Amino acid sequence: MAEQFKDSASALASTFVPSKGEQWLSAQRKQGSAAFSGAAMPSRRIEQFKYNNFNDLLKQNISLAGASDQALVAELTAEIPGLNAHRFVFVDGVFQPELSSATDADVSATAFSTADDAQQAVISDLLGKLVPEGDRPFVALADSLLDDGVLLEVAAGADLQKPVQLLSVRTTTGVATPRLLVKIGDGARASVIEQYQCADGVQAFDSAVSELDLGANAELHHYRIALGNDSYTHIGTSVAHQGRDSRYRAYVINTGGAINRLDHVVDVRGSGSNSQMFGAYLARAKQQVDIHLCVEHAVPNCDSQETYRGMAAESGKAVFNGRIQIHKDAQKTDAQLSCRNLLLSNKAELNAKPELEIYADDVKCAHGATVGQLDPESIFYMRTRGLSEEKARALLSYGFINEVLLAMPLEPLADFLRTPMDAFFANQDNS
Amino acid sequence: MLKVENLCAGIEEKTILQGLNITVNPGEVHAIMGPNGAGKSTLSYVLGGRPGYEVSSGSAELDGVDLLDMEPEDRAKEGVFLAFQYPVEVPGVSNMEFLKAAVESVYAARGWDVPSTVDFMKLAREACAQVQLPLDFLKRGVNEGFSGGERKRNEILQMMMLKPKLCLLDETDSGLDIDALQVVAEGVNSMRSPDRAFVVVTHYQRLLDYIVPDFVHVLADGKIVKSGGAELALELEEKGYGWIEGAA
Repeated sequence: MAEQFKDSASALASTFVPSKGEQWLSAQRKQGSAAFSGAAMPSRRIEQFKYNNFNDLLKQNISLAGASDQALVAELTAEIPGLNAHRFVFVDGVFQPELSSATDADVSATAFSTADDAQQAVISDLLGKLVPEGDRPFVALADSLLDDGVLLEVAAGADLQKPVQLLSVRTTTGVATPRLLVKIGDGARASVIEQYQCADGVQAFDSAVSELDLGANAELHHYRIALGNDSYTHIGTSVAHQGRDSRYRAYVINTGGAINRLDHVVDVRGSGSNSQMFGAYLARAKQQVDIHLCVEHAVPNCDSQETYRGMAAESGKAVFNGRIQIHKDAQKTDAQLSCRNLLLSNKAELNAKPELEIYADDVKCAHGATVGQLDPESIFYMRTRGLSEEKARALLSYGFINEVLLAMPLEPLADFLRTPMDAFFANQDNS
Repeated sequence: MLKVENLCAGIEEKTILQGLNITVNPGEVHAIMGPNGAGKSTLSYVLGGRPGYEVSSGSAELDGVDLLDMEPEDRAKEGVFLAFQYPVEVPGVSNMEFLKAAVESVYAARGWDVPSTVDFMKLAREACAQVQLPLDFLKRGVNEGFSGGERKRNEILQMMMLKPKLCLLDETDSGLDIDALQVVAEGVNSMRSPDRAFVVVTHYQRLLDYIVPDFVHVLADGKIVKSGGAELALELEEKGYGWIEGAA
């Protein structure tokens, strides 16, 4: 079964012609193909895929994304009210200059498909550099079919007033490999929204990779949002690499999806850094959501806080694997991981697994993971105020997740996300 | 307005209320006092519709409508309000969102115009001022991080917004300092009207200095064992519950 997926994807890579015909990334594609050929496909025997069910994906013949559906493009790329962002839009994996905005002196964005020779050299040099070694079949797949992407550079010392939004939408079936490279210059501050969406009913498959490099004393607010539906398979890898005294804030939202998975690596390579990750993952119907977080503390005097909320309703399946690795030189590390989950039906499944690996002897670490149900006392309280049981449950579930949205400094984005959240909590059948 | 007849109820096979009778007319304030374990909170919960409480016999009607078969939300829509002894924290849901959902549901059921967002905000701000909670409490999570007194004032705020026919106050005075007690009492007194009734459940006479009842009932062993006017509370304060229990 896995062969079907692997063979078709390999065949696709061997004859792959990028949408704009550029050949300068062919070395990366070749390397990706080789890695993909050698990679083991997901199965329950492999620890990192143990709690997922990839059967539906693995029995597919993978094809390239076809022509986009223009009617859906307008709907999916509507601007978020009040957000006022620099926008870069990808439709079915290809950069759309006409839907994107101009940048200013402090931030430059270069699409791979429109890069000049000098820019191509910069991009080639950065691609894949931050992704840690290891078996990553979906990164290899993305490399083997590498098409378009964007390099975003924030000038040293710049303090971006507007957020930068990278919006990737899917309107058609097949595979897309949206790619994002972000370089935050020394001392710069920026908010970057990496957002993935798919039209309802479209059987799209993304293998998305983003690499974010924070310079010394830089601050990045990284919103990584994948709004799934029953037909969308989104597998993302996101690596943040932190320089000295940098501050990284991540707000990760994974809702729905045939599979909606994020492998999130926070690689703390500069001492004096702080990392704060907030995340929410929600599954209902037969959806699967998965966050695999890995925080690498490689240097001394850093701290990290991880706050995650998960929810599985109906026959949904949610996975959180939060690994914090404290290497032997990472003395005085303070790492705190908290992961709370709601299991709303007997048919739903939730796997929450914090993992601490500590090789230094002078550190402070704590982790906690809980799986619970809605508090009956709270439900009764709300009902005595006239709310139906269903409304009380929906509001309590919303509140549970809203704590993550409330942590977001970008309020227009949090407001935008409340709509799909409300829809998510309404009309659940948890019998 | 409220007519409870021969009510027997309990939880998990244990009968706590053993034939309780009480009639409350519009405009009246009834205090129900009694020692710990007498069934005071059980009465509040049974009237509020808390899951887990079983009624084995008897009836409770609000204006002729049987309350006991109703879901808690339907009782609220009929005009029953239960102020909790321990109001629950609901993190992530703002007071404003919660109140708005409650007002929309209850007003629609009672045939009142559902206020626009602007009007709702105005009403909420006024109620907030009346119970002396800062306005930013409306934006905070329901009871999240509130002190005991703030939670009780928040209960009164909700009561003011929902304009119930029958207000059940379950040990609203427990854990309150004297300032908070006065604010709560003023809130209650401001809502007294000829077409609204109150049942105030309390262990101590103190609250009744501020909310002066028309009737005082003593609950012991699941029954009303003595009824009287406001002066009965003072007598109880002086002599203790042993006096009544001994007599009963």
